[in-house]
Amino acid sequence: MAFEQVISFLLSASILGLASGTIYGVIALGFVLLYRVGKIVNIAVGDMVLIGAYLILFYSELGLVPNPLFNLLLSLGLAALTTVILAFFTERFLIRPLYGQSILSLIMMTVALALILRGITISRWGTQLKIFPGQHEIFPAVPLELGYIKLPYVMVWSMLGAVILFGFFFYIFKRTLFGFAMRAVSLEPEAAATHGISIRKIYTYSWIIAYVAAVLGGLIMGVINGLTVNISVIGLTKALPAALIGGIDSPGGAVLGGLLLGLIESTIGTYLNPIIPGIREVMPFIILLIVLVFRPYGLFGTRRIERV
Amino acid sequence: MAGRPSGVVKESYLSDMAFLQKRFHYVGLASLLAFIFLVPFIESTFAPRFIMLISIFAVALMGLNLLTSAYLFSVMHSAIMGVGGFSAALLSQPPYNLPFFITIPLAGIIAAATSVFFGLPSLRVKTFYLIFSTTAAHFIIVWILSFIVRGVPGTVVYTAPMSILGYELGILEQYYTFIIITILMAVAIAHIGRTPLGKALVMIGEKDYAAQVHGLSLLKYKAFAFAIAGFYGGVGGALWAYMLKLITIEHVSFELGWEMLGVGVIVGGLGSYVWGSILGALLMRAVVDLINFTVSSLASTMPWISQAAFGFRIIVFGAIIAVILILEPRGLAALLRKVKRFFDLWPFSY
Repeated sequence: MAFEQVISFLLSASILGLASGTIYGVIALGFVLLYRVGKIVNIAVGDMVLIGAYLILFYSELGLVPNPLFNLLLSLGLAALTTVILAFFTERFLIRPLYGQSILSLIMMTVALALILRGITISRWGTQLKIFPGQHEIFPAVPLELGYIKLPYVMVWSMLGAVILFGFFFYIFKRTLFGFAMRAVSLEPEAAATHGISIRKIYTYSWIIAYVAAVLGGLIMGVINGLTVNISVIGLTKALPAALIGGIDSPGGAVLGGLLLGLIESTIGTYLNPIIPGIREVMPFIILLIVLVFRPYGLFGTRRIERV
Repeated sequence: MAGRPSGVVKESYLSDMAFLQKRFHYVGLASLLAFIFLVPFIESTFAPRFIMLISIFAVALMGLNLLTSAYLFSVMHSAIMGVGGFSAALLSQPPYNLPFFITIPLAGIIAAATSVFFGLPSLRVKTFYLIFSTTAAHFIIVWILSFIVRGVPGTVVYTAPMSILGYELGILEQYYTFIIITILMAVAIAHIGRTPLGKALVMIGEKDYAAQVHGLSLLKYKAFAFAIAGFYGGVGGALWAYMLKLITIEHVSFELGWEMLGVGVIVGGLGSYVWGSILGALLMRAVVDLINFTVSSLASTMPWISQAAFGFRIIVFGAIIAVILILEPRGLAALLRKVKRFFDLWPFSY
């Protein structure tokens, strides 16, 4: 292979990896936030992505605005609003009755949530492959070319959306009084409650943020992979390694973990895939196992794990 | 035994330890066994297959129940079943041509080895981190399985029919074989729960450092727990492959692992190895078949319902888990125990 081709491949692969990594980061962010604030291991993260994607499909098929791009953006907003209601119901009727119970009960409750969300999606929209209306006009198949780098348009949009979400989230989490309250609850719920912070409200808001992040992830996942039920498994299996690489209670770590995962997957994974078929899909799990065995608290997580 | 009514006196340790303590237990078990053995003569199309599926999942769930009561959460159990199923299917074919009474234990042993290997991270991490590592393990195992069968068209591996010395077993003989294997496995796990091994596992589940202080080797006992769970899962998978006469990668889905942990173990009854597992398996299959039955009877009047059937099944599973977690966190087996206690103490509630 000529030198130029190698450079082109490497650059494209790493940019592509970083771009898909931002989406893993977005999904992992919701997961990490729920763990940090409520000590909830949210197995339903993939199915939240799934329901988000299908809600966008539902609203965009209504065709409220003639312009396909604005239609998609409007339905993204409407889907996010719908998931706010979903988040409220989730917190109020599924999670709140179990506060203070064993960690297994909470995990199984998120599994129940995952099954319910997936069941609703399947019984409403079926299992056939679907695409967003007007998807090909908004995201042309011809990649954007910048010198050596070839980048699909959807990735450009996904990076833009992710950066906006990250910026918004970190501004709230680090700079506002509300974010301060969130961090207080995550650190010491009882002390926060005595200082007048409503813990229930904080929990509800963190579910809302997790859902909205999942909706954004669902849009991009749906555009890249097409809309099938598989999105849920893909979402879960990318979010878990991303969250764990970065450290399960560090939102910044989740973003970096996602980027790292995307980078490794698209460079090493793509390189090895012809030699060992299927390694690209299994790569995140091998990384996950290695991280779990050698550094269970991840890159930026708190070293609080009890050793056995 | 808490809550024993007055007037019931045990005169020896043996009678105190007995599994069947009252005439009610003897009668109940005998009538259950009689029902299971006689049911193919009453209804020979649906019932045997239904009970065989329950027995398969009950066997697999017994191991998972033991593992979960040691507070080791495994969501790779469907992959472990797949390991058992694929090894039984591949060993029953040429060039090996092994009979089923050799392939089933062999499948169990192979699955146990896999389970122990992927359970090793449990020494470093615990609780929900173990869910992550077993999630990873599930996908790695499935990937290895699909790598092994990549040459097979459609990745469908057929199982040779069950036969003893050239005599091929019909559906009825196969049914009784399954029931006998299930009973053997159930008796074995009930006894394992009472040995020092079983007690040690429960202690590790309650407080593992306390168990360590008491001189239990965590490496040894966790490996044992994963080995037993793997063996049961492997035998269950092998039986499954024999019943379906084939096994594919699609059978060992990630969702199945979650349904087994959620519906089979938590809803069935954590810590109740035999009855909890049987109830869990019964629930898992009954929901599927009830929904299939309802849908097929409604399909003529409401055509849209048949495509939504798969979704309904999942919603019902989710709802069952949610309701049971909120109302009866110890599972259906605890509910059964309450009912039993009510009748034991009737007409006085205490």
